[in-house]
Amino acid sequence: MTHLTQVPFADVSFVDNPEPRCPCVLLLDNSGSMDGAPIDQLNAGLRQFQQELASDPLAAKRVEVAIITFGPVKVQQDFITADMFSAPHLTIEGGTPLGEAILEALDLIKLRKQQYQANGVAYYRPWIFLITDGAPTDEWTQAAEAVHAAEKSKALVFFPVGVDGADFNVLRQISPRTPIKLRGLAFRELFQWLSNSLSSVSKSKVGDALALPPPDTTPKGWATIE
Amino acid sequence: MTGTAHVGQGLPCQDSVACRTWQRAGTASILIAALADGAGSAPRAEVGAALACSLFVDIVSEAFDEGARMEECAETLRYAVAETRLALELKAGHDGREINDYASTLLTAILSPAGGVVGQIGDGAVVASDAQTPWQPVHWPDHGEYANTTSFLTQPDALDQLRLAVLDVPIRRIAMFSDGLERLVLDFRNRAAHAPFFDGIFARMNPRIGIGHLSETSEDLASLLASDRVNARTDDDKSLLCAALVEA
Repeated sequence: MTHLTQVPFADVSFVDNPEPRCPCVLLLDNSGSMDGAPIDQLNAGLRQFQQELASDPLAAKRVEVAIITFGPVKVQQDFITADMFSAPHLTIEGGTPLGEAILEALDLIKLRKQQYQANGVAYYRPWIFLITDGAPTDEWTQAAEAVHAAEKSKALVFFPVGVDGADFNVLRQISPRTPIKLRGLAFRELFQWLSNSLSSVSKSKVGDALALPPPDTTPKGWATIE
Repeated sequence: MTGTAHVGQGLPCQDSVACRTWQRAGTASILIAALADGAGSAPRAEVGAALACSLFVDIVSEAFDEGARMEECAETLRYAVAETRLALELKAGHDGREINDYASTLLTAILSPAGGVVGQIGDGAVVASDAQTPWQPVHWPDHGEYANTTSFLTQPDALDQLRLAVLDVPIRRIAMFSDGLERLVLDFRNRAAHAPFFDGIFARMNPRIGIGHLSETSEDLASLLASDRVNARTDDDKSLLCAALVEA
């Protein structure tokens, strides 16, 4: 009788489902004021982000990265899983159309969710991670309202980060989350924190108490209190 | 079966199962089954899950003892879920805790040879097959919008989250499982049960079927759930309850 074999039910078949996805939009300021060291450090941070995510086998299949730069608003990278993601080399352009960039990010997420749903792909709450060093050069109140509405309905999480020189008054109004100020040009540390946090989220299970590492405000960390 | 992630973190298995048959003299027996998955973040999740299952099965049995009829099994199920939640609330109060400390999902079924009812709060699923239809999920796992969320018996609006399905045909085979197995045995693209898995399980059960609990089959299923093949695909706790209708 087959049931006397060593491993019972050894031949039962399982389904291959797509991995659940953890989408993250990076909303990056490449206006003129970022010229020089800031854009270089940002590019280095992105490369580190790529490496860190790719080195975590599960996160590499589950985290999806999209990149939108503003000025002007441009989708540098549509959603792609971390194992396929290659950090773009960002260059300086003009203007800081933050409002338009935020609306573009919200659209990108909405569209991605529709694609997940149509294909039976489970997903985690999307993140938008904004990094800017200036003040918006366009109308941004409509975008701020949209972010507040989306946060309220738990449609996404919006993290604003200001580089030295950013208009924190505006950042405070854009998202219900308190903006964090980057310490110097600690982009690498910031992206390390981001990849760690996304790795944790992408493995979280139902009912898990998910404690993200708080932004590191130590002298070696990436954040300072504004 | 304890998930490998729980073993790694020193957490107990927070899944629980309870099952019983109840019989009134001169009538066919009734299956009463429950399966619960405690929330990883709840400090007393394993207690909540175990209590939810055993209380549900006890309360339904008592209702039948006191004359409840299968025709009103949906009402009986709803009543038993409400009473189970109330008992958890009292337990929490007695222990000086919040009911959320006992957070758990709850899958339930009351089945006679003519049909019955399946109720579900949260994730995991119950799949069933009858003479005409192959394996079908009775309810799809409730994850809200996101992969890491669901509803729990302990939340204030739990009874609004309870999904009920009355089955008015003889259910020949039924399986319930916690969300640790979801991605192995449900096809998320097509929102369907993965029939080869369930057929494989029941094909091995059929020759041995007798009335009541089949301990040998249980042990075989336990080895399957603890196997490397399963653990390579899920690090969560997983439970599986299978029942088949024995022809008189």
